[in-house]
Amino acid sequence: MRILIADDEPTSRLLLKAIVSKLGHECIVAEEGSRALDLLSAGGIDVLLTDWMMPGIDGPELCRRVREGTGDSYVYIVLTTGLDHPEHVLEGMNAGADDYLIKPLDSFAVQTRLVAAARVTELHGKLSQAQDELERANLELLELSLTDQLTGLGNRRRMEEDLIRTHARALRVGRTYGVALFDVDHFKLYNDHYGHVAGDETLRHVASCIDFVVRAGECAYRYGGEEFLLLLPDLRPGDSLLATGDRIRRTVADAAIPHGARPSLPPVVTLSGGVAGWAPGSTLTVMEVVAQADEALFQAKAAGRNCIREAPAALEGRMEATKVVG
Amino acid sequence: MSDVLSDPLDRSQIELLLSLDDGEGAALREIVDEYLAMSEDGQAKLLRALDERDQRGVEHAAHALKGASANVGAAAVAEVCGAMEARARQAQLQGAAVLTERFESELCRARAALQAVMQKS
Repeated sequence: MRILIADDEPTSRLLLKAIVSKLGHECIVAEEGSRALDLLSAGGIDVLLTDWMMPGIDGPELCRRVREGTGDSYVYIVLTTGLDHPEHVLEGMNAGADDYLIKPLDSFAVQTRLVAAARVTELHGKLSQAQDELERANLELLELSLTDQLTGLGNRRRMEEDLIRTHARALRVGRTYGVALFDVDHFKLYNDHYGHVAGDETLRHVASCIDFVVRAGECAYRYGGEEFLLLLPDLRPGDSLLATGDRIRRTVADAAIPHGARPSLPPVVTLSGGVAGWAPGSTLTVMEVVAQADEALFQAKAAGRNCIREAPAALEGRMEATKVVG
Repeated sequence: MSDVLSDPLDRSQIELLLSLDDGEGAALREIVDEYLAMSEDGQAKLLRALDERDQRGVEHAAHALKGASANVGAAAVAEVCGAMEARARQAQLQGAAVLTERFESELCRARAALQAVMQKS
């Protein structure tokens, strides 16, 4: 173990150091309480052997400061005191000491204390390791609970949380955001023709195409079934939702996943998409924005699929005709 | 007085110090050296504090000498220093002062005995 000795009296310091070193431990010394605190804050100390009476920061005060600190590892504290002050023992234990030694010190007494110290610091180490592992496992579980199992994209729960957060932030700081909703064209026919296993594989493939082209800050989710949603939380002037939607549509079409069962050309898996935006001044809720994107998606389907439609802009009360791309 | 003839050192403590570094005596020499220096200094502090009737000064100097003396086996010095510390704490400075002579003679004997130990080791 690494042991810090705090004592203002030089022969006690030397004696303790010799005893502790003889027992095979690494030993550092401090002549006063404030120096001990400095060494402790640097970390890596398992045991503190501190004298009661020191000028400045005395033993019990040192105990209190160590226990108030937020160090990663537990420091086992043994307070050394004279036999003529039995009341010190209880006061020291209340201040945070784990054990005490009566002066004059002998190596057997020190050795027995260090056996307990080794056991307790090892337990604390295991406990903090178990706690770290638990926290890591909890994070993994949280991540899993927000991830779509089939595609690895965010799931509906994560999507809803992110939409609400994005909308709240847009309201608060005056940002513009957009959503794009995609649906795999003729997917029921695909499943009927190729089977559900191939259908799942294709959903994974489409998801990876989407995931591959999303940009920093954008986030893709599996909305449900063969529908995907892309959230663009921070649109800048000049950003085009239609262009973004079409970038994704093209990427999937270019992947050329064969779809021989569809009634129309091209003979590959394609997406239809609807996009909608929200800008400061709009009175729409986030779910209304998603509903607008869904309405635009419906229009894309009606227009022959494999294309993107944009909802009438809610911005500045414009009521433009639906724009067309694709 | 019979205790003048008794051993001023607790030999088991000397044995302990000798056992701390595989019998080479380096730890013993280092600690005793430190004691010979600090006890001279401590003695001066204690006598000055008694002279100036500085109660806290007497208590602290006696306390430090008590601990250090016990560490090197100077049991009689530790005992008289303990008594001086206790009396000073109870504001009995006169009671502490009457122990001065005993303190000085015990310290003198202990230092001589320690120097003899050093020459042997």
